[in-house]
Amino acid sequence: MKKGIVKLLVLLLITMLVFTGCSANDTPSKEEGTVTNGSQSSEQNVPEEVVFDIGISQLADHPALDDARRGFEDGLKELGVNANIHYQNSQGDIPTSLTIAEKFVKDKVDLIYAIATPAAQSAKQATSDIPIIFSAVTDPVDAELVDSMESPGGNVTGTSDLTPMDRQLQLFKDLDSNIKKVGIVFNTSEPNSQIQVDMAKELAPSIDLEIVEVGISNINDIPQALDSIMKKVDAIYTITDNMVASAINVVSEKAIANKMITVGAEDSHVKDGILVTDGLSYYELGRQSAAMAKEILVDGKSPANIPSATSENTKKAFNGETLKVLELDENNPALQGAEKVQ
Amino acid sequence: MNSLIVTSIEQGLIFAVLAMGVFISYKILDIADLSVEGTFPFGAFLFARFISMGINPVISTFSAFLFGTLAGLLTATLFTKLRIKPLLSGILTMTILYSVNLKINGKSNIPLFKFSSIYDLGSKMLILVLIVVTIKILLDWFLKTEMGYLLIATGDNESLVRSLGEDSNKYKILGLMISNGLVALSGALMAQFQGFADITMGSSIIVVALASIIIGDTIKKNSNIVKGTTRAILGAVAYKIIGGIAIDLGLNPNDLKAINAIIVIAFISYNNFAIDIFNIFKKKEVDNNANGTKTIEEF
Repeated sequence: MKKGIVKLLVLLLITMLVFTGCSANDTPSKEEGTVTNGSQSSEQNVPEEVVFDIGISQLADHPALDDARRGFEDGLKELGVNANIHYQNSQGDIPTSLTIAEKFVKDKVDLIYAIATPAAQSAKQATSDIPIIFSAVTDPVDAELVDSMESPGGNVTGTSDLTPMDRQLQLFKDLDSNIKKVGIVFNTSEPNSQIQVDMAKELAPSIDLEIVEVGISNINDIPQALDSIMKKVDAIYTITDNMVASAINVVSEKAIANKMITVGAEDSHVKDGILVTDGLSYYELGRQSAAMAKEILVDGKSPANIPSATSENTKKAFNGETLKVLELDENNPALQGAEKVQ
Repeated sequence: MNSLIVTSIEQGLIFAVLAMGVFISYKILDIADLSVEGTFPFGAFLFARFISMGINPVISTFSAFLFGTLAGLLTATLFTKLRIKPLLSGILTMTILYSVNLKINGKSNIPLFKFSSIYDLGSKMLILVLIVVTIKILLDWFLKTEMGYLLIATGDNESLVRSLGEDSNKYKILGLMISNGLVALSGALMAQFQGFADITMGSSIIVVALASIIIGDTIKKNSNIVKGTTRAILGAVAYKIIGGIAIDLGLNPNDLKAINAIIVIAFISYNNFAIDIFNIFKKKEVDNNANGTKTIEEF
């Protein structure tokens, strides 16, 4: 047994050495992550340069979540916050997100930025002292991250990605008043998606719409789910669902083939062929979170007193090509003030 | 002690319960039971359900174990009674459990911050060590009873068990029930540890379990004294510590998954490679060990 344990230790050591080798290669990329402020403003306002350590814990690699991270980093730069960014991604593995949060606590970072619900919950579990800013969480109260949106109460606050759904559903009617049934494909594993589906169902009758939803649990189910739902509905609504977002091309292609109007909940959907959105941009959401981080780090406010917020800036955009294929008019009043995306 | 290492060890101990469960199906019964991917969140969701009903956390955790055994019963029934291949049976159970898990609480993510947990009783580490050691002792004891011997024999040589006039299927059912019960228990412990239950917490958990067992097996090479349960525990803790170190070193986050796989490859190749290198020693051992057959002690 002794021999065995010695060997195990040797093996551990070798694996560690291999890792250290890996990490050495990664050093340049880590340095890239360091966000430094333009020197002009710091010379005037802050005589001593304060550099904050910020740990970013992101749940998975995903365009919307990446946007929320980039927006946060850029937002910090714009606000002149000097920060050393430590970025970690748990690749969808929840126990890892807890390990990442613990690492940040151990490293005594000044603030943790957690992207997506489980990442934020893990961070909350790991510390009740270090301020945590979350983003891409649809219902922070339901997830028990904050006591209420207005006064979070603890060390956690942030931005919710709840979409202005009433405006988005209204777009269907504005584009084509004949639309009665709207289809939603959503991932049953994502709490945020279920919340949105319930919300859509609640809102729909007031706009004279009916929601038909189909739940999937695997990204490979999407084509079939779309085929089945498109027989039943007049138009498709894409919510902020991580799995659907990953397959948004399939959704837009099928919708175009069926000459169906599509409305997306976020602007990245439109880039991939969804007709129109009046929704949130995760990049903007990230920037909004950065403003909260500044209030905590620079202005010394407590997260308990910073209200959690939904997106301030929504963005109307439409896809020019999809519009052309659907033979719709660019001057439609519903598209007024919208940015054209190719 | 470094808090990251502490967390890694604590998580490792939680996964040790999982690894001991999978040890029964994978090592003893020689069945690749994929249902654990569903049973792990199943345990977490059951716990969330019981605790939100106002039941004491200790009883809730234990109930997760009891109900978890039902998942094993389902898998075992599928392949012993309906003669579906074990691999497929496990996958079917896992798929069914996905829907069941969503039904239990009506949503896919349940925060548990407001409820008390089993860790409120004292130090997390102490409680986990107690749980793991108790399970290990009970399991080792069970494997030495007549039933336990027959369970091991079922995996080793099924026709032998039949020739004794025993129903080998009975032992497969029993083994899988204990196995899945432990996996569910591990899920319940994890949910309390991280403060929430989430439907995706079981994804690729089988890899963690198998990796733990394989890492633990490196100790086996030169020893018959270390029991399989002990190996599973040490393997799970070692696996989590390596993972924690990988994160602590600030490795590129995109590489983490591959690194986990590389760890497992490293240990497997060590296991296989070591056989060649230590062949000379092995021969001696075989000579000393006049009967070269597998002894019960090896398990």
